[in-house]
Amino acid sequence: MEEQSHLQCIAALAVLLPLVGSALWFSLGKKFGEKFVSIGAVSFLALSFACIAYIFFTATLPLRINFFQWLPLGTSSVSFAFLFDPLSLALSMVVTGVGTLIHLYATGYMHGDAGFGRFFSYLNLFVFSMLMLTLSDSLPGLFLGWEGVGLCSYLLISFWFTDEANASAGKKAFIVNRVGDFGFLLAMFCIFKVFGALSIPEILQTVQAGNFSGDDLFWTRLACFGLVLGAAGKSAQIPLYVWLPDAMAGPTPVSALIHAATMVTAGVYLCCRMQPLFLLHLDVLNVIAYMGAITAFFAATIAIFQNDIKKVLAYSTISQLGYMFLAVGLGAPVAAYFHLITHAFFKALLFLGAGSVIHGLHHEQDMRHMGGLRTKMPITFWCMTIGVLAIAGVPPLSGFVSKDEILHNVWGNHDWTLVALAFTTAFMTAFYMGRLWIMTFFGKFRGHHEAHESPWTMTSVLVILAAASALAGILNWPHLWGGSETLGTYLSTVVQALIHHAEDPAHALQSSLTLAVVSSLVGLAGLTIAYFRYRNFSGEEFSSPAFRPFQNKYYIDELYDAIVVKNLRMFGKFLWKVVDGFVLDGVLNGSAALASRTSTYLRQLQTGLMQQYALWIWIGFLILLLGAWTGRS
Amino acid sequence: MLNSNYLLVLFAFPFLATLIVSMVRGRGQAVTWVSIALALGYFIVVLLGLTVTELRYEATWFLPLGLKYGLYLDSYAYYLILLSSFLTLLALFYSRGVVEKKITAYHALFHALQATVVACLLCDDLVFFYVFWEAMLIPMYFIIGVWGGQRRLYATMKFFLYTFAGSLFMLLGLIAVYIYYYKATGVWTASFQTLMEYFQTNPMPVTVQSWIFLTFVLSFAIKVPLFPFHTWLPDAHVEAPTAGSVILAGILLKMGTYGLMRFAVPLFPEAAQAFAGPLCFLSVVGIILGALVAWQQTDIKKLIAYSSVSHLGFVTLGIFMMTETGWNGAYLQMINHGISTGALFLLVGFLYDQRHTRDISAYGGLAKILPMFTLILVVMTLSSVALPGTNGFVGEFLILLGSFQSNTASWIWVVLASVGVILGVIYMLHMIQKLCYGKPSKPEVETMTDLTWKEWVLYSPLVALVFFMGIYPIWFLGPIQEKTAGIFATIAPFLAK
Amino acid sequence: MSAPIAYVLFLSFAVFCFGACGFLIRKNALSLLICLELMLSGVNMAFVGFSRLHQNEGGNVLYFLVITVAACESAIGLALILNFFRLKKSVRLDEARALEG
Repeated sequence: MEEQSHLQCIAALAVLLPLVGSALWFSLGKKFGEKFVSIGAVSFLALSFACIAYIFFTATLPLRINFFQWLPLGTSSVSFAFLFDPLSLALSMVVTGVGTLIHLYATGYMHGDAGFGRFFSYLNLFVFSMLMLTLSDSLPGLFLGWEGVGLCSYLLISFWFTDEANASAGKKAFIVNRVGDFGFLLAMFCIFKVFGALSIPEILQTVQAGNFSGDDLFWTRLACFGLVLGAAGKSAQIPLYVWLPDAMAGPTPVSALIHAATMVTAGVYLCCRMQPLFLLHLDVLNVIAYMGAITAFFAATIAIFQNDIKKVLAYSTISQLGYMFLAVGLGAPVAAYFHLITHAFFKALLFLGAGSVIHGLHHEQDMRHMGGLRTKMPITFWCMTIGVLAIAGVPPLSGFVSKDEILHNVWGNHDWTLVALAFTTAFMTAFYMGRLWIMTFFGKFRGHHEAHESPWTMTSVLVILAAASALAGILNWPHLWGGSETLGTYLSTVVQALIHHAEDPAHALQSSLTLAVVSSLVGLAGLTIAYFRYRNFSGEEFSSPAFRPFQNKYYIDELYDAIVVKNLRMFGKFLWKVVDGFVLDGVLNGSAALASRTSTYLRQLQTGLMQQYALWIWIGFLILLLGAWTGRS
Repeated sequence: MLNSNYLLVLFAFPFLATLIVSMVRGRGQAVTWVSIALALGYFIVVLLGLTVTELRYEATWFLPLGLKYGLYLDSYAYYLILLSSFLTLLALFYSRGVVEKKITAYHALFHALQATVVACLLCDDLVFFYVFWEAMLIPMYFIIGVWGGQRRLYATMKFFLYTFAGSLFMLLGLIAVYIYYYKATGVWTASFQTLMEYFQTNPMPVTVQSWIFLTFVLSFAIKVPLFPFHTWLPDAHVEAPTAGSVILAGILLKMGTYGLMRFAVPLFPEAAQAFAGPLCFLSVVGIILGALVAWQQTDIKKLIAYSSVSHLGFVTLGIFMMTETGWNGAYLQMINHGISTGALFLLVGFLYDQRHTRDISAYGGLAKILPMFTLILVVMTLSSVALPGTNGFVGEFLILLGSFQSNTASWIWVVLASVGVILGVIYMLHMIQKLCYGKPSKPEVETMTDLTWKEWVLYSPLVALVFFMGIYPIWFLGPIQEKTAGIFATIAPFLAK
Repeated sequence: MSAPIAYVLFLSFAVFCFGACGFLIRKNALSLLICLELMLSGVNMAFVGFSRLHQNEGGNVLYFLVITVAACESAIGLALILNFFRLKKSVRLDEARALEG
């Protein structure tokens, strides 16, 4: 009991520090200035990270910490409670760890901005929501974080709100996310219908006990689809990926933290968290796999044609998230989780590197106006190089190991469509990353401003992340290659793999090595082609009309606009003008008019002559008399 | 421990307050302060009853016809009285210095409104209930008609006649219940509690129930307002003075849903079960129509008025799906809506007082000029779109989650209602964007001033409540749950399995 | 020996009808008041007649009631007519049409 209350304090501290910070920086930011906010925000996060790390190293898992009751639901109830298990702790470590680094970076990046305090307030609030998301032990608690991160994403995308476009991008992100949240809500309703509870451990326990009627399976299937929709919204998968590219309107640290490293991976987390439920419905898992593979492929094709450095990275993020969903769908959650972690490192690195470039070039984001920055920004260049190599899948960097594990699973699944999609995407990834790298750092400088290297707060973060990107592969280095698969062992208590390789070890080693060689060759080939294509880039791009759909992102935004938004607007107008204004008010005002017209006739009886009224009385009396007389018995 | 005399105080205080306020002589400010002090006093009196679970008071009035001067207080009535006294206090405080015309009458009418509302909530007698139900309209009629905007006469007529016509049907229903009971037992009684206890054990035939139920529902539905009876609401809100809008949205609308939960369904459970499908359909149409139409508005007040239609659609859905959790959610959502929409109307009033226009395009870029105003507006918006952590979420989530488990009507309604959750974000964020984001488009906007101490006094309790009810709703839901459980224990046998 | 009830009733009816007809055709407000009195007298006659017939005092009591009310009524009526005359310089009732719908 003693132990419990002690951990309770630490857990509460870890989550509440960012929340308190958020309120502090918002209200006091202006008064106390940048220095106060930067030191405060970073140290709060570092403390929070320390708390999580403390629990990570000392607590016996799984650990459930209960605070107080939140929602009473008749027979059961939902409490504010944290569930520390390998899954949530691993992600919380990433969130607070990478979060601290990005906070530190942002103190340099946002230097001099009028909304400095406000920025860190939102950022801290985001970390709070993200921790709620990962640590909550119930679905509504998770949903609190889920919507909270959506809110922060909205606030941060439209951070520079004086530009209407940023505000619209933020709004779009929130609304599209809400479409996903609709699925999540629905999933909760269905789950409650079957299990009568919303606490995750309780649900999963019941799932594992098995024994479902056909009716129950209908609801759980619906729940799974709802969760997939929710995950697709948050993690920007087809068909809800449209918000993420626009989200790049926010400041770059935001893109790194929220739209690359942490928030967008929440969908993957959710799917891993609820994996036992998905295992009831293998067809839904198949849907997830295809959703992931297709998203990965399409996003990569678009990324090749983008000129905005952040847009390339945004589409690359969507594509990498697609890989994670592919792995989840194939029943390899460890691979997905591993890629999630390595991706958090190298994509944060890439974004922050891009941010450093943008910062150095005074907010120039178009790669056609960059080039030759290798010498001007050496630290950024070297760090970015590691990031690019990692994502392209060059051994032995972390990206190679995690992606290889996913490809390995795809290969083992013998679905050749998926194999083709996955490998083509791997090639394209290497190609567009190579393109980005070369257009930015090689060739002649094509910009307008004088470039300069970023301050130490930014570069130091880059160096740390570069080291992490390079070395994170050790976390789950495969057994076959002499590793220990630490992450796999760590997570094995919560998630399970579907694919079991029943091959003899020697053969398995050989095939896995072949695959590794093939995948790294694919990556290198992509980089090489990009190198030759863009070595002497001078500002002009492909101009064939055949590429136009790619450049315009397949016109998906326009399609949604034409099909959904326009029609909804029209429908709204119809409801307002026709249903409300014409039909309902028409009936109402019509009956009022009818009453007043009738009364204009009737009021003519009212002559004002007293004797006439007396006459009416007489006539009435006579009629009554007559009636009495005729009616006598 | 409070006894039944507390009920008398609760009942009589606002009437006395009306009298006192209307008798105050002297310059305008004196009236204002007396009135605010009385409202505060009443709020404190109401707070004293926080621990009360059930209280009765009874005195004979006209025994031959079974009419009694009966008062009955339970948690359903209590929290609405609390909300009413709270919002009246805020509304009057807001009006300080804003309303210049006929100040005495203005304040007296607000107290009178409070008096009739509280009387209506406390009454245990059909006749008294009906009298106060109608009497509620009169102060509101004057508030809109005298202190309203350009088209106030049209709006106030529409509001009055529409709701009045609806109530007449209920009068028929009330008389029918009254006579039915006499025919069945040979005793005249007009006490709701007696009637309710009797009909639990001796339910009416379903056809009789259905007719009477429909008269009740018609009257309550107009008040709520449920689609397709909602068209008076936007007009009334647009023309009403800010404080009037706050009370109208915060309290008067709730009388409709309260009536449904308190009388219509418990008295006629079988009829409610029979009509649940169509009524849920109307609720869902209201949710979606309200949201889509709100999106099209250029008048901020109209936008919020239509959002009320949408939100109350959730409440009625929760009621007609007839699950315990849904009812708890519906009740909480009534309170939530009073807080968030009341606050939104106050915020719009704040803008209107400075610029004298409600046109959304006359603003823009307010976040730069009025950062604190924007903060409060965003918080209230989040409550309105039911973001978890705010009160709106707890209400909506309980409604939807509860209703989804219902056997009364199809779960498809809940799915469609959940679409309203998406639409809610669209119109609210649209409003935020148009008001607060972008560059300040007009020079007039740049000269606006941000919140003063007066506004902070107004908004801080509201903001605190938004989060408190969002994070620790048990405090409210505990007593509500018991009451709901009591009702469901009696109507459960009549519900579909 | 008293008159048969039928005679009394006939007389009462005749007086009432004179009054009623006069009320409908006369223009002068004073005449109208007198006609009202006639109608009341007709009714009173019937009361007294019935009182005699049934040998009880009910009719007589009612007679006194009516005559008191009639006195009040003509007092108020005269006051009204006086005021009306001040306003219109005439006592013709067809000029009082302010309540026309």
